[in-house]
Amino acid sequence: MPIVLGPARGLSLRHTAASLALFLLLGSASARAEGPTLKIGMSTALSGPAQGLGQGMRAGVEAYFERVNRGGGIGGHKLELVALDDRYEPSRAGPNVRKLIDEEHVIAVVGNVGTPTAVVTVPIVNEKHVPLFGAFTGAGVLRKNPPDHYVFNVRASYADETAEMVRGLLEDRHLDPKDLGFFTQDDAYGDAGFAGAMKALEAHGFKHSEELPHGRYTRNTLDVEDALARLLDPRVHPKAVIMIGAYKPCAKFIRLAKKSGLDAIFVNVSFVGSADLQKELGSEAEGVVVTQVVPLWTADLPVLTEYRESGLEPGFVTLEGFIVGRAFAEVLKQSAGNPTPEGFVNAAESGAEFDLGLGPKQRLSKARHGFSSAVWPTVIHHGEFHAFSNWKELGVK
Amino acid sequence: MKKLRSIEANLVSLGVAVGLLLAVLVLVLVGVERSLGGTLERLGTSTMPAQQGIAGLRHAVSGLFERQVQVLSARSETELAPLLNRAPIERGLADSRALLGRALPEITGAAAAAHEDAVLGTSTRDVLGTDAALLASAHTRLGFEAQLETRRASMKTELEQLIQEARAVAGVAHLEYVLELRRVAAGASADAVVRGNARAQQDAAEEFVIAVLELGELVGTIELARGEDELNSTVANQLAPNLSHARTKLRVLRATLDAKDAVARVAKMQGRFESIAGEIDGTGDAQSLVELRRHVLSEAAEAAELRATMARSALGISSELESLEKIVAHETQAATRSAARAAWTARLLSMAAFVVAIGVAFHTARRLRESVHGLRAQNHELESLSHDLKSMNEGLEHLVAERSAALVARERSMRLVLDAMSEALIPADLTGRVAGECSHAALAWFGEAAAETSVSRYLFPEEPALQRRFELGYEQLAEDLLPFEVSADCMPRRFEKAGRVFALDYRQVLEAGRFQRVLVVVRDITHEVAAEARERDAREQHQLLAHLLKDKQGFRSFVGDGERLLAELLAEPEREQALRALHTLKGNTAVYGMESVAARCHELEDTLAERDDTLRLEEAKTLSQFWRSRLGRIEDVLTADAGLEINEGDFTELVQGLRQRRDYGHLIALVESFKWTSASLLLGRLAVQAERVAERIGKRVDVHVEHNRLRVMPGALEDFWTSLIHVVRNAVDHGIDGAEERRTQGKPAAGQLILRTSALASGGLAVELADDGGGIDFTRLRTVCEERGMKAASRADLLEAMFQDGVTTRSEATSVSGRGVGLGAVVSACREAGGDVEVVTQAGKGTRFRFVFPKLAVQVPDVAPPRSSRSARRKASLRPERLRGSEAPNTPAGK
Repeated sequence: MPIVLGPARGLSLRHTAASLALFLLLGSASARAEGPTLKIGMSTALSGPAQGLGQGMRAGVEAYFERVNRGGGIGGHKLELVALDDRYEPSRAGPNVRKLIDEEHVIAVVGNVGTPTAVVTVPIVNEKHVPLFGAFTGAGVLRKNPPDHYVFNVRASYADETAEMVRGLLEDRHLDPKDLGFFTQDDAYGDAGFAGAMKALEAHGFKHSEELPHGRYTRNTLDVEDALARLLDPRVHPKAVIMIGAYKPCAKFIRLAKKSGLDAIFVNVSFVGSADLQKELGSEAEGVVVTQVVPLWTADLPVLTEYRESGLEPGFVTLEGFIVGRAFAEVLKQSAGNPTPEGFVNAAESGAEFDLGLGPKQRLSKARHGFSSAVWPTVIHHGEFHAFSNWKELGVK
Repeated sequence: MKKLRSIEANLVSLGVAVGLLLAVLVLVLVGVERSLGGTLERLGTSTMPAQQGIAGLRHAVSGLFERQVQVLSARSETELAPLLNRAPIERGLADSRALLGRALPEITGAAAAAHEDAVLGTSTRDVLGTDAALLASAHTRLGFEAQLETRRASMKTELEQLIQEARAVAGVAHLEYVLELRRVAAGASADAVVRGNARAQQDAAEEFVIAVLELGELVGTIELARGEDELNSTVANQLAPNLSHARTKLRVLRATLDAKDAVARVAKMQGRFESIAGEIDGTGDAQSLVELRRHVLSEAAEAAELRATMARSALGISSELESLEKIVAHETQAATRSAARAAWTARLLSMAAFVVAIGVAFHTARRLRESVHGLRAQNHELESLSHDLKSMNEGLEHLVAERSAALVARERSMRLVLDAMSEALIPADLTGRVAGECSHAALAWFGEAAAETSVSRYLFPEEPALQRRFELGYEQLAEDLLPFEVSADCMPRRFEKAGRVFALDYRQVLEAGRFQRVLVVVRDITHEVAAEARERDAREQHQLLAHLLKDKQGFRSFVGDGERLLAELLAEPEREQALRALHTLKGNTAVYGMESVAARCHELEDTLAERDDTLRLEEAKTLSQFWRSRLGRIEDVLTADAGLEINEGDFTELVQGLRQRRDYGHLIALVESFKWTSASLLLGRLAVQAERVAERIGKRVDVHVEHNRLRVMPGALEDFWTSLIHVVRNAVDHGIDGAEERRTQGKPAAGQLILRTSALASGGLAVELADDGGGIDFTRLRTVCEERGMKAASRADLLEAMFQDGVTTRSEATSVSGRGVGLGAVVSACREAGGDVEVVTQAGKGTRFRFVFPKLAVQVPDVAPPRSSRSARRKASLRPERLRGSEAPNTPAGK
C-alpha cells in the first residue's frame, strides 16, 4: 500500500529535527553509560604485627579490580577499593567499618583481615545491611548456620583447616590424639581454631581435648614462653603442635621450641601468613607445615594464570586477595542491573553459578554463603613451599 | 370625653412613678458601686500584690531548692553549665520583694513594713550567697572527679600493660623451670629444680602478677570510697601492704634472674610499678588518685554543709512569709466581708424598690380599669346604632345573590360548549365513510363533511399517502378478524394540518351487540408536541454543556470536526464524500448527545440513498443552520481562549522534577510535551464514546485503555482520530455480540475492547483497536462483494473491499452504524496521513485493527508505568494512567 505524505509534508521537516534530537539524546545517553564508580570498602591491618596480611590482601583485591576496570568495569561501573588501617585491633575495626558505610557509602566490605576484628564488624554489617565479603579469616563467627544474611566467605573455615590437620596427623601419620599439642592465640581467633580441632578430634572418637597440652599467648605480643613451657612439661610428649597464631609469635615459638629440644611437627593454619612465617624463621622453617585455603600459585588453574599475569609478588595472601576480588566481581556481574548492597546479596543467593577459576563452579543459596571449603596442605622445604597430599610423606626426622 | 382625659392622667401618674423609681434605683446602685469600688481598690492596690509578692518569694525559694538538687546531682560540667545562670531566680526574688515592699505599708503600716523588708532582704541575701557557694563547690568537685576519671583510665591501661609484662616474665621463668625439669628427667641432679633460681623466679613473678591484680582492685576501692575514713583505712591497711609485697617480689625476681634482657625487662617493670604506685598515693602529689578522691570527698562534705545552711535560711524566709501571709489574709478577709455587706445592701434596696413599683403599678391598673368600664358603656350605644344599619343592608344583599346565580349558570353552559370543542368526534361506518353528525370541533377544524365522504379524505385531503395508509388499516379494522385494539394500533396515530398537530384515536361502537360503527376521535395536541420539543431541546443543550464541562478540549475538537464536516458539505461535494461526511457527522453528534442533529443527518442519508444524487446546497445550508442553532450559546464558552490544559499527572511530574532538580533538558522536554496531545486523552475520548454507544444499544463493554503515556504531535492525524470513532462503533455495535450469545460461547458477559497506542521500535506510532467479538463475517462479505461485482478472490481483496465506502455486512442501517461508510473513512484518513492498516480477525475470537504511522513523531515517556484497565460502567478517567506498555521501549524521552 503506497504511503502518501500529503498533509504530513510539514511534519517531515519537524520529524527530521526530532530524529536529530533523538540521536543526540541517545548519543549522550551512551556516553553516560559509564556509571558512577562503585566504592568497595576494606578495614585491615596495614600496620602493626599483622601488616603483612593486610597489605597482601589489599594488593590482591586491588589487582583483580584493576583487571576488571581495564576491561571496562562491571555494567559500566568502575570499582574502587577504599582501604582503612585497623592495625588488627577490634577497637579500630568497628569505627572503620562504620566510616566506610556511613561516609564512603561502600556497597560492600571486602577482604578484611582477622577474627577478633570480624567479631566486631559482623554485627555492624548486619545492622547497616551491607555485605561483608571474603574476610581473611576462617572463624565460625562468619560461618553461622544458617548464615548471616550479609556475610559471605570465599575461603575454607578454620574448622576445615584443622579438620584436615587432624585427619592427616591421625589417619595418614597414625599419631595418637594424645600426641597432639596446641599453641593458640588467647582470643577469638585462637579459640575458633582450637574449637575446630576439638570437633575434628571428637569426630575421631577423642573426647578429652581439654586435657591435651595447650599453651596460649596474648595477641600482639611475643610472650610465648609460658605457652612453650606448658608443651615442654616433662609429663607430656607432643609429636605434633597445631598452631593457631600470628606469624611472629609462631616463629618465635618454633625457634624456641626447636632450641629447647621439642621434637614435633609444627602445623600452622593459613592465617599465620605463610611467607612472613617462612621469612621470619629462615633456615629454621624447614619442615614447618602450613595448611592453605588457596592453591600454590604454580598450579595449573585458570585463576592462577590471571594471577601470574597480574604482576603481583607471588604469595598465598595476595593470591587469596586476588581470588576474593574475582569472587566479588563475579557476584557483582550477576547483579549488574542493581549494584547496591541488597542487589549484591540477591545476586549471590540467586542460585547462579560462579566461576572462581578454581575448578568446579560454585553455587550459593540462602543456606550456603561460603564458596570454598578446600584445604591445600604445604610444607616448607629449602625455603620454599611445596604442596603435598599425604601427610605420611612429610620428611620429619 | 371626660373618661378619656382620665386615662391620660393615669398614664402621666404612672410615668412619674416609674421615673421616681428609676431615680431611686440609680441612686442605690451608685451608692453600692462606691462602696464596692473602695473595697476593690484596697484589694487591688495592697492585698493582691502582697499576696502575689509572697507567692513569688515562695516560688523563688522553692526554685533555689530545685537548683540545689540539680547542682548536687550534676555528674559533669555540661550538666552544671545551664545552672550557672542564676539571673532568673534573682530577678524573681527582687521583683517579688519590690511588689511586697509597695503593698505592705498599706496593710501593716510603714514602720512594720520596713522591718519586714529588712528581715527578708537579709534572708534572701543569705540564701543566694549559699547557692553561689554550693555552685562553686560543685564546680570544684566535678573538676576533681574529671581528673580522677582521667587518672583512672590511664592507670587501667598501665596496670594492664604491667600485668602483661609480669605474665611474660612469669612465662619466661616458667619455661626456664620446665627446661630444668626436663634436664632432671634426662638424668641431671634435682637440686637445681628444688632450690634453684628458676623455681623462685616463677613463684615471684606469679605472686607479683597476683599483687598487681589486687592493686587494680584497690584502685577501684579507692575510687569508690564513700568517706575519708574509709579512704584512709584502705590506704593504710590494704594499699601499703600490697605495694610493699609487690616491691619485695620484684626485688626477688630481679635478684634471681640471669638473662640480661630479662633483667632489663624487670627493671622496666619496677620503674613502671613505682610510677603507678606514685600515681595512686604519691606523697605530696596533689594529683594522685588518693588525693583526688580525698578532694572529691571533702567537697561533697562541704556541699552537704552548705545545703544544711541553705535549708536553715530558707526555713527562716518561709516562716517570715507565713506570718506576712496571715496578716494579708486577714486584710483580704476584711475586704471581702465589707464587699459582701455592700452587695447585701444593694440587694435589699433593689427589693424595696421592686415592692414600691408593684404597689404603684397596682394602683394605676385599678384606675385604668375604671376608665375602660366607661368606654364599654359608650360602645353599647354604638352597637345598637349599627344593628339598625345592618337590617337596612340585607335587602340589597339578596338582590346581588340572585344576579350571581344567573352568571354561574351561563358560565356552565359556556364550559359545555368548550368541552365539546377540545375533541372532534367523527362517527364512521364500516366502509370508512363519515356516518352521522360530526362534533362541533370537527366542524371547526375540518369544515362540513360532504355526503359520502370517506373519513380519510375528510381529515387529510391533501395527503394521499396518509389516506392510503388509513384506508388499508381501516379495512383490517372493519374485517374484525383481529382484536379491535390490535387493528387500531396499526392505524395512523398522528397527522399535521395547517400548522397544527392532531392525535387520532379509534373507538368501537357496538349496536345491539354487533360491531356497526367506529368513532374516530381527533385531539389537537399542537401545544403538547411543542412543549415536548422544547423539553427535548433543553435536554440536548444540557447534555452538550455537560460534555463541554467534562472535557473541554475534547468538546472543542468535536465542534471543530463538526464545523469542518459541514464546510465540506457546503462545498457541494461528490456523492461519496458527502455520504461519508454526513455519516461521520451523524456518528459524532450521536456520541455527544446531539440527537436532533444526528436525526437530521440520518434523514439526509435516507434521502440520498433514495435519490442517487449528491446533497443539494440548500439541504447542506439547512443542516448547517440547524447545527448552529443547536450549538447556541455554548459557542461563547467554546470560543474563549484555548489555553493549554495540563493534566494532573504531568503537573505532578513537573513539580517533582523541579524539586529533585532533575536535568534541565529533561524538564524542558517535559514542558514542551504538554503542547503535544496525550494519547491517554485521545484514547480516553474514544473509550468514553465506546461506552456511550454501548449504553445506547444496551450492551456491556469493558474498555481497556493502554496509552503507554505516549504523546502525539498536536494537529497530526486529526482526521484519523475523528473518524476512528467509526471503528469503535463498529466494534461495539456488531463486533461484539449480545450478552446471551457471548455466554453460550463461554466469553465474559461484558465485551472486551482494547484501545492501545504504542511506539514502534523504529519510531512512529501504532494505534490498535481490538475486540473479542465474532470476527469479520467473510462469507457475508463475499456475498456483498459479489453482488456489487467487486473483486473477491482472496481475503486481502475482501478486506480491501471492506475499506471501500458502502460495503457493509449489515442488511439494515441503524443510527449507530451499518452504512459501510465508517471504516472507509478511517482507512482513507489513515492512508492520507501516510499510515497503513492491518486487520487480524478470527471467527468467534475477535478482530484487531492496527493502524501504523511509521513517520509520525511520537513522544515516549522515559519511565514505563504499570498497566491499568477500566470498566464500561465506571466514569471515564482522563488522567494518564501509569502504564507499562508491552511495546513501549525503555528509552529516555526523545522526539
